[in-house]
Amino acid sequence: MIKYFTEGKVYNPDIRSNLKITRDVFITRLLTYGRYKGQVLMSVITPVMLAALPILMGPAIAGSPESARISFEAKTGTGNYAGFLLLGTLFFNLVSNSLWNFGYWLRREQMQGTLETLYSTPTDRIWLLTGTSLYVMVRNGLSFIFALILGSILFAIPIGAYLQPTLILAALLFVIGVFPLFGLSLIFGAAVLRFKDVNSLISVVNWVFSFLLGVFYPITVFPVILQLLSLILPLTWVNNALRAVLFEANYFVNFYVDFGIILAFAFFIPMISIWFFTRVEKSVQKREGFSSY
Amino acid sequence: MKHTNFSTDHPIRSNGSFWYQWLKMSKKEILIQFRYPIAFLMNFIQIIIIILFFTFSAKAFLPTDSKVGLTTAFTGTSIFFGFIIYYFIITGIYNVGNSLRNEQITGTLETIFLSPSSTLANMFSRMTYTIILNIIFIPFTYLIVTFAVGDIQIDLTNLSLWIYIFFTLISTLGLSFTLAGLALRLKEAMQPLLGLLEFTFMIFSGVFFPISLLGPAVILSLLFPISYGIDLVKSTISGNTITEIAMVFNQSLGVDPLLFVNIQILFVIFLGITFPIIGLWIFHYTVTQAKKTGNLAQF
Repeated sequence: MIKYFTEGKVYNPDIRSNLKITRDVFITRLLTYGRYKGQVLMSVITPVMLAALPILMGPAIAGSPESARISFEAKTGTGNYAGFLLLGTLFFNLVSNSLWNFGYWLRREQMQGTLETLYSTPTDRIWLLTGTSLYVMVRNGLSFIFALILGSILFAIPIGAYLQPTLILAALLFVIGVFPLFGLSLIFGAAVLRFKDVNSLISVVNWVFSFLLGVFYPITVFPVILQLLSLILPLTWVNNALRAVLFEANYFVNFYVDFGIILAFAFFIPMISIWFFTRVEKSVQKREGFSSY
Repeated sequence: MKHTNFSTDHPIRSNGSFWYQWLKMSKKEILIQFRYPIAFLMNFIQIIIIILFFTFSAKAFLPTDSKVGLTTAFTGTSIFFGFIIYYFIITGIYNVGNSLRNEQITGTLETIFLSPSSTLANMFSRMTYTIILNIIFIPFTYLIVTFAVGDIQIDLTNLSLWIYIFFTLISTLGLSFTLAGLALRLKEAMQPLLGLLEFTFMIFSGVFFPISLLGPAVILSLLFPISYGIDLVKSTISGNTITEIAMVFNQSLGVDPLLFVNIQILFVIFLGITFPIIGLWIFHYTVTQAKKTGNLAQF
């Protein structure tokens, strides 16, 4: 807990005040985002259009929709390739946006010269970061849900496929999956603090993630080395588990092992990330401070 | 085109010919890009990953023991040409508009358009770097596609293929100019529109798959002028005399497919000639309007 001295008195913010700060940051960011209606609309349409590419390519490669379904089922355990690919694309979009949104928020504050001010305010920055992370997750989570509905209508995926008891399990997996994602966002945030302009780095990582996560295909089509690389990423497990729960695709091992691994990632990745972020923060504070960009 | 610049030190000074200005401005644009070697390298990494994306995606739909599909020369060749057209469309969509938008944000746009230099040379110079980059990408893509997909057979002697590619790519210049004009007018609202256009083109132009798979949405594909050129390129690679669009018109309106293909060829040539002119006119009109209303400097 941070103590501040104001007019000779000690100011010791309680949990309520801190939560209010988190809420205010969250609402401010959401209101700002809401001003760009085109951007809001595109966040729903773009991933659906991206998913359309492999969904339409499938029958073209296989010869017919039926052959595409049979071949796809042999490799993934589900013939619902439209659902499989749509979900993967939307999940990747969520990952990508979360990385960009958080990193860009820090970068914009850096460029506008307000980052140092934020760090100098009598509030522990963890509450500010929580507000921003919450905004990132809510914004991208809502886009995910609306895009899933739109995509399901366009690609004729029966909505009944989702409206099963497994939906609760999928929602739980989704929430647990947010934790490693939050951790990765923090690592990107640390990179922004340390290296400032990291657009190219984020782009490369974005492409590598999209490739290794198996967005447009199951990772079983990879050679063994690529499969192993892919399995190191916590989000590969979340992505596959969501597909398995909603569309009866194959688990990597089985439900319990896959779920256990996701839980382990959800516990360790944020802890490691917070430790890493704090270290970078301290190092930046000691060296050049937060005002340089 | 000759411009004069009045200054107290040099009463009348010519700024050189159009080509001289274009050369100097292109040099400036290329020098700016050379300052970002990581971004340059990124382009190549992106190409490798995009091609691998499509390769593995295709692999998921092939029977495990399949010996056809990805290993056929036709598929490899289609993917290769698909990527070349894709690069030009994407750079056509983003390049000039984004470049002018950056000038708008940094506050140098008005200065550029008020300076006694050729606007046309300025516009072409902004395209030069990306055209050079796209040309460098062609052999690189060839190598990656050959490695990832298999054999590519390009019949260099097939003149009609090169004619179709040429006019299809030239028509993307018109698109580029039009979008640059729109970027000046729409400002920040242009970004989501460009994103939407990118995916719309990727899907409805049929670069990576037959448009017949679009079902009733094939009508949208027919509304994109660039689809006609891409369709001709694809049918030439596959050795078909009848194009896919000709078949769509035959099935829906009973038009003679052979006659339609001839009309389609003329249409693609016509677009290649007129689109850049129309695009330039739109751009010029937008700049003139912006100068009149005085909002060239606003962003």
